[in-house]
Amino acid sequence: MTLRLLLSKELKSLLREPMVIAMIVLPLVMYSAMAPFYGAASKQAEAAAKLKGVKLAVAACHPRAMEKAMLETIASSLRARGVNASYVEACSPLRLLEHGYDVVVMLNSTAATKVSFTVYVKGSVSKLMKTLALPGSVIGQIRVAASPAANVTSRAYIVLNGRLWSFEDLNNLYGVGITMGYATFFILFPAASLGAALIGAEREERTLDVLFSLPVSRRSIAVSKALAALSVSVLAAVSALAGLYNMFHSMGVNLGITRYYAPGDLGVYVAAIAAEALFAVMLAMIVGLFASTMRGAQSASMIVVFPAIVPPMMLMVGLPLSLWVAVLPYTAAVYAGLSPILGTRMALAATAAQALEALAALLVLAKLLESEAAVTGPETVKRLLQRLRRRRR
Amino acid sequence: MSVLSSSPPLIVKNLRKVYAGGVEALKGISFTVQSGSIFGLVGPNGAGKTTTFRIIATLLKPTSGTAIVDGVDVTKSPLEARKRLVYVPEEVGAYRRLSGREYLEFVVNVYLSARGASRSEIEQALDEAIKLTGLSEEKLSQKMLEYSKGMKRRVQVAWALAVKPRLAILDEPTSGLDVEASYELRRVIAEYARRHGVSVLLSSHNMLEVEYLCDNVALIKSGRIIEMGAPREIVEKYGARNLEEAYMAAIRGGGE
Repeated sequence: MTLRLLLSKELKSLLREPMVIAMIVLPLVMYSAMAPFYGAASKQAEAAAKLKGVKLAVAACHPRAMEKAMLETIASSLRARGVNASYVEACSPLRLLEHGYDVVVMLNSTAATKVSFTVYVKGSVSKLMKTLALPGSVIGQIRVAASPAANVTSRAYIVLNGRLWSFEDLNNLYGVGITMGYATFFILFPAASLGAALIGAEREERTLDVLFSLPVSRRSIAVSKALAALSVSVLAAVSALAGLYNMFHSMGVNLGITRYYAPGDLGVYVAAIAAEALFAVMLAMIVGLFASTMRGAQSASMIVVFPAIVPPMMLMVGLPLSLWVAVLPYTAAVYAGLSPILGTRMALAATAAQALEALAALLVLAKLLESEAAVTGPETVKRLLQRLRRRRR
Repeated sequence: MSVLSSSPPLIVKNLRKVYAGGVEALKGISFTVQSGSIFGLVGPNGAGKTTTFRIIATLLKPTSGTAIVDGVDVTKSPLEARKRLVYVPEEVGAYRRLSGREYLEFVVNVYLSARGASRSEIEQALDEAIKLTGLSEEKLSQKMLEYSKGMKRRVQVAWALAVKPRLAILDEPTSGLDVEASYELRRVIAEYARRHGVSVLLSSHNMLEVEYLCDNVALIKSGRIIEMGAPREIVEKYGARNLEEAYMAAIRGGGE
């Protein structure tokens, strides 16, 4: 009985805090809104599996008659399954890619029942998921088309951004890049949590009125709070990342950071996560203005960080890594993580866009702080909710 | 260090405030605080005292009317206005992780730097604020988390007076304090403000305190000023023995 009463009191207090309600509702809205992107991604994967829209060459350099016959059979079998495939006699697969083919399956050697191919794929940065899926799909189709008894072995290379990548390298780097995108949470969580709490603490400690009546601009207050939150969260992130590095190191796991990334790339990555963290701090402070308690402020920080999950997730499921996507908030770290693939310019563009968004959020925050909402924030929310309730009645 | 001006520290004209929910907290109030005087704004809870103070302190915006602090319109130039006033709210808080001394250093430095004071002027004001708190060195070094309400109030009032603003706004400075703490705080306000010519706008529910401290008083009820004048004049007008009786007569008889 006592436990029930205590639990009921706790739930009432929690569920009457608008920020907690927002924290519950937001993921439902957010993840549902992502559905069309997942749909598009699954279509991309399906197209890659069926080699739909792919112009494929089955090629060999000075083949023997028996090899030529086998390759022609494979090409014809692929065509019968709807693949735009043709047999070509050529010695330079890269030249074939330059001349309109998307995929070149080059015969290396045949010996007894063993057949060895090298697959060359013309990659697309904006369709990286499809690019990475193609070699596997191609070899799968070739295995079916070749004699069932044949032992098909293969290697794959991808031409992307003017570089020839081995499939393994590109695939690993993609994984590391996305992981680095997600690693921003080590800074986003403390940044948003501190950002929201800085205003919440002023309200809870009843120091806001004195602070706001001091002869300093509200913009200075916003900047000083943001920098304080950012500095502490950088320390927290460095501590977390150093701890993880030690953990991986002792486990013998090598993420290949130094192998894939030049110091410049890592510099862009640091700038990208700093810009994302600053943006999160600003948003958290804006949302935190409307929280009446520290609990509300902490919930507000979750509201701010939740959306950061979306861009890496959407990029993982095939959202094109284009410049348009780069300007979306919380994409900078993923772009910086993938900068060896995408190029530093794209990562810099994403970082610059994120920094501009942080600046815009700072201006909004400064404007809000100058307004009455800064002082009466939670009361404003309460009044709005009351008005909504009255309307419903 | 103090901003010298010939304008009165505060002129409030037809101040009106309607909150977003439609509540009309102020219905056009006007009053003036003369230089070096202590002005009391008194009235029941919800009469509009704190709303008035918060508008003057640039925390809220008036629906109409003006509040001019030392010649500066608080709505048009809030930052300039804030250089001329200090506001100590009723629900006085404290940065729990700062010591009393650190807090005083912070507010005195911020306030006086904005007014362009020299290093020595800031040091002098800080020393004065420390003295006015009446707290020992040991207490001042403690985190404010450990301070009583009275101690927090002393710290706030001390810096509010020590920086010698044109206008110090003290919202119920002695509310919730025990007799001794109230007495001490009243003494500090009366002596220091008068000695240094700091104009004070305060509110209180203690009419004896108002009578003791204030040169002029405005009685506010339901957002309207229903009586204004020197405490003695108001007492005489209502044929009362003291301000408390006059206040009761005014509140029960006049206004809404």
